[in-house]
Amino acid sequence: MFAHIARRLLAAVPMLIGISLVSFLLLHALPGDPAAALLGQRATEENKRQFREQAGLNLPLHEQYLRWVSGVMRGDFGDSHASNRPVLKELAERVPATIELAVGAMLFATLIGVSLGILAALKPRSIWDFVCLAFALIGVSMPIFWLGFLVQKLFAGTMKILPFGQRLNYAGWEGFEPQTGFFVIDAIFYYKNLDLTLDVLSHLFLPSLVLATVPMALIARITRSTMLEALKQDYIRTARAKGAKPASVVLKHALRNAFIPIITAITTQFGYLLGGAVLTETIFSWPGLGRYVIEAIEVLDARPLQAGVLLIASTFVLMNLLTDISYSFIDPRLRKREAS
Amino acid sequence: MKEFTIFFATGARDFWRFVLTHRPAQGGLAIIGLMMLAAVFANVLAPYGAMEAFRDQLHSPASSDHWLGTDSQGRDLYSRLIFGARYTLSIALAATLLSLVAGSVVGALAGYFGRWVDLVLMRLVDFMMSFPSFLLAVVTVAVLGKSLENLIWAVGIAGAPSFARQVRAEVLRLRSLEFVEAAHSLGYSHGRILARHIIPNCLTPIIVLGTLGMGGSILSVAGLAFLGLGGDVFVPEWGLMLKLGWDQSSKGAFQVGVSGACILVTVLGFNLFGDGLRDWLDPRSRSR
Repeated sequence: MFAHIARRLLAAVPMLIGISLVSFLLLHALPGDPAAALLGQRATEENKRQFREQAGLNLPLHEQYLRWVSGVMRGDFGDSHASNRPVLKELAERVPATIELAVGAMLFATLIGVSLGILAALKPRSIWDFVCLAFALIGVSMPIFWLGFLVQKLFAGTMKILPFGQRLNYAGWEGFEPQTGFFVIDAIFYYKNLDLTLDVLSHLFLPSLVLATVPMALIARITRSTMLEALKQDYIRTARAKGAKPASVVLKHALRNAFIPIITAITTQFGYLLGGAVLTETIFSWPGLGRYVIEAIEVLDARPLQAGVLLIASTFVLMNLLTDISYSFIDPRLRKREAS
Repeated sequence: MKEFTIFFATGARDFWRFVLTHRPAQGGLAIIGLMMLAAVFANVLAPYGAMEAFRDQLHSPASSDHWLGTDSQGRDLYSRLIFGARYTLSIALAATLLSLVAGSVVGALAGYFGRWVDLVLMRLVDFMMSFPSFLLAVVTVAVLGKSLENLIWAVGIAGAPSFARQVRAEVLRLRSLEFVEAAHSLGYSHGRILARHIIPNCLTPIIVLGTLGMGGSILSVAGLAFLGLGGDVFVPEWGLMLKLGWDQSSKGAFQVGVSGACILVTVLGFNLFGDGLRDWLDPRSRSR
């Protein structure tokens, strides 16, 4: 198994190097002068000339790349010209926001998606089956920015039971200082305040539900089909004949064997979440990483864009790596095959 | 061209028989047909021009003159939605064709020649797939500049890798079949075998992938346009119209509602029809 993990890890290295190359080259690929992309479009010629010298923009590309990468390794992503702040500081605020949103979405998607899929597989051609299939189809066809607008209009506008956008009602909690950047964790463990926690959760609810739509649909569909397959197997009939409890047959015997495709669906959807987060964050004015990338593109701000792309793509690669590795934990047969 | 004619003649008849028994595919086909009609005959069907502004009727509600009311510039919303079908479908079609052609060429070359060609091309594909495709499209627009033409390139390029993978798998399967071996032993050139023996046999899966890809392309293009990466905001593309409505908050709510509904219904149509096509192609998938 360790050989398997080591091989996977090694295969990820060239990917990560490639991603860092692409992120680096973005500086030169953006429309216009790289010096302007670092200093801002209003920089004077004189400033830019001085800056090129100082920032090493006259050096050969490979030396520039090494300089940038060694900076990134030390946590130095450069400065944003739009905000005049180090990118690292901004990432420390943005990344937790996106992780919180993605984890919330994944929870919704997995819980609802897997349950709906199991219900549908247990009673094929029932109303649940129809709901599951219809939902799976509409979910993948949904423009989530539109759905986001509609639910916000309904729950925050008309019914007024949930708040509009943002991560927190900042006006109501003036003394709030983020500690970890994960507002849910801050509210529970640092402030230990129930009202604050509820406020944070109520802000998180709609965005994560909307972001969950597409993964939820796909997870429901895959769970349904793999469970249908698993429930037809002989060992299920044996378990039932032995008199095992119906719930245990479904959850232990069938679900466990249907796990690999479901896990794959869940983790590959994580990559979708990182992409889809751009749209959801825009609709809900959620100050996350996806929004950060778009804002950087709007003002041609190279350093934040490089950092954002680098982070999102490497997370995606690492998630896929974890999926691969997790297989050998879930399915002992794969472990043996690797060993032999 | 004979192979292609035979393919379409036999395939079409068989497929039509299948559609008559497959409800979802019928629904999808009906939606796609309607949208195509709207796109092609927009000039005839729309009561007003897409850019025709009635300055005295900004944000007017639905009436007999303006069936869905007017937008912030006093333009007839219903007419813009109809012209929107033309823009949205053609942009998505162009993007899908781009991914289809680029992906098929790469996939076919990799699958057919194998060895180092396969290795190099597939590493490239793997690498492109290490970016979430929507992010890849966003970054591509950032580099090329904001405009509708660049949206086509961005969505097309971002979609190509998954086509390449699936076409490669299909070519790998075909390559080992007897008729290809026979063609080899007759001394035909690689180009001829690829063009006349392999590609025609890949056409059906490619068409299915393309239909399913259309839905994704429409969503991506609309999403990018909504993010403000579409350039010209006056073009009646549905994603841009949605964004225009969204920018005006509550006054634009109705515009957001109807343009989003058009996107949803059209994508749904392509997905329904694509699922049907896939069932037809692979009856085993029908239970799934």
